[in-house]
Amino acid sequence: MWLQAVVNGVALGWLYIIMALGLTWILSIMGILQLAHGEVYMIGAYVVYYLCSSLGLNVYLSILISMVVMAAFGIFLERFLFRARADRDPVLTPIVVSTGLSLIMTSGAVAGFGLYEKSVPRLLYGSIRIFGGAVPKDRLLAIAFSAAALLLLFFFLKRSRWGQAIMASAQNREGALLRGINPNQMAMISMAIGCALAALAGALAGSILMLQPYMGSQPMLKGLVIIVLGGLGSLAGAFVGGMLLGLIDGVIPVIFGPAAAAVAPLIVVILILLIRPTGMFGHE
Amino acid sequence: MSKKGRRNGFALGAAAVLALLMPAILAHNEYLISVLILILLNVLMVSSLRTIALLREISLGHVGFGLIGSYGSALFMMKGGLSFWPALLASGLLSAAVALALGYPFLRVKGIYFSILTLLTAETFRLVAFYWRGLTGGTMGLVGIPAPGPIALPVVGIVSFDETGAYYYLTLVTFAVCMAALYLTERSHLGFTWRAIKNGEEISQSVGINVIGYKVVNFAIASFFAGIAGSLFAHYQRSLSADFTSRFGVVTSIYLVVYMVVGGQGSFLGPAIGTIVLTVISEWARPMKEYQPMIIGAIAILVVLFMPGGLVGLSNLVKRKGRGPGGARGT
Repeated sequence: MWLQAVVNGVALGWLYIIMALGLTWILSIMGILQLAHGEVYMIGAYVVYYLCSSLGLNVYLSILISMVVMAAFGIFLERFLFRARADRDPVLTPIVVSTGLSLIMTSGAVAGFGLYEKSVPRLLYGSIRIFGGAVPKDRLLAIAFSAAALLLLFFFLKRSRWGQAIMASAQNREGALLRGINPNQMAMISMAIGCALAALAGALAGSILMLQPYMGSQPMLKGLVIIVLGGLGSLAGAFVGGMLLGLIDGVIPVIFGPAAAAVAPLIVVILILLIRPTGMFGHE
Repeated sequence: MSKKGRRNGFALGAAAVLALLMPAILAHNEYLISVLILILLNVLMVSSLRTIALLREISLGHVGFGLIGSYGSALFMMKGGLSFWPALLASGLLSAAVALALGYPFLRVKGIYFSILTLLTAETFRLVAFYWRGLTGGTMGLVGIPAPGPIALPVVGIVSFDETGAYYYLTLVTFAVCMAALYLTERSHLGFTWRAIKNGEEISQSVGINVIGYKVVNFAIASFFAGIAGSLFAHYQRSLSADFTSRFGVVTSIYLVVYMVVGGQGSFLGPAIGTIVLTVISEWARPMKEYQPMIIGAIAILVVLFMPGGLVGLSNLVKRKGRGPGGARGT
């Protein structure tokens, strides 16, 4: 019982971390709050569903295709909707644009896919027995996929030239510009990576939970909590924030009930902000 | 009185007469009057949201303070034994008090962080209301909220507010008082200090302005009016639910920001124009069911990308063209 709850919690926690990673990169490199990130996650999941059920493709291949499709969509969004211009308010415009986008995508999904819940085929069937409890294999695989995505992203950012350029752009936009790094290109790459990660999270969630047009708002909110907890633009922060949130979500409802569980993340966020206004791992 | 002042006074008078006659114009159609009440409440919400925007901070959780006003007011009447008017005031003050308490940690962070925090706060309030069965009825919702008690007026006699037409007038009067208060606040010394902080936070601090203090007061004032709007909503609906799809969901706060920006946050009238235009469009699009949010979303994107000053900016643009160079410049 306990073990299964923990594994479920950790699997969901990882999905939220993947969401938070995309959000936090888009936020720190482009300086925008992408409120439609949850809808990218939702569409990513539906793409996998239709590739599997209508075209009969393999689940893993479908997930890969969905990630590529959503990355392309991200590039489109950056180029045509989010690119900063001097006559536009840098904070407000992206908030409204992404809100509008979120309304369009959600109502498009209701119209196109219907309100009935659908599900992506399971990644793996059966369960493993650990410490006398049954743990479904697909949850473990979801955790493994998410962890692999995090590691890949980590090495991309730390080791590759592109990754270094993105890091530089996130830390100091003007400085990076002086070194010949094109901020628009960086924005495009981070948007593509962010959307691909959202699609991955959506596809994994689709095999664990159900698909429906409103599925994106919950992970979106969790992702935002994680970013604030961990600090802007920090991989380590997203990881620790995600684990902390998973812990809160897993433990508090059992001990103190759902109302306390709802308030707990906010209280933790406020406490952290009082001590460190930039979040646990954030920099100025 | 200047020419412009006289023109504004005339426009205000015309708007007031129109608002008073609206129920008759709509042939006392119950549904349309309920839309009208909702427009008034939303204009009040968006205008108070704009008060925060005077500091160039965007709250994405304004409806959270409306929720406190709604539940606060309902419970003050149901469990606290207050009558409507004290409950209305108390609910606004409760909202403001919560904002005061949260303001200090929240307003130390800026920009997008503030927006995210307010969004999470509103969602937290909603979840608490959703799960706190003992106080708010939890998932079942809060039912049996009393309507404001009847009052005796000199000419019309006794008015009871459990029917829509009378409630519209009650809302209209409260709305007018609140809007006047918001307008005067914006033109007061307080409002000018907010503008100073918006234009240069560090320089304001260096001339001795308590920046955080003024920001917290701003947040509390805006939340007070959100609380009042929430209270009016509660006693109109007579039942409340904190479901995800209810009025208190994240979506509402986000809609409020859209109303503000589409109208034009640079002008005091922007929120009213944005709210009215978008509400009318979404009522018109109601038969299109699932495509309705899509239309609002598309309008929001088009306006914000191609009309940076919002709809108000558009009217200023027309005026400027008509009068040639040197005409009034809005925002």
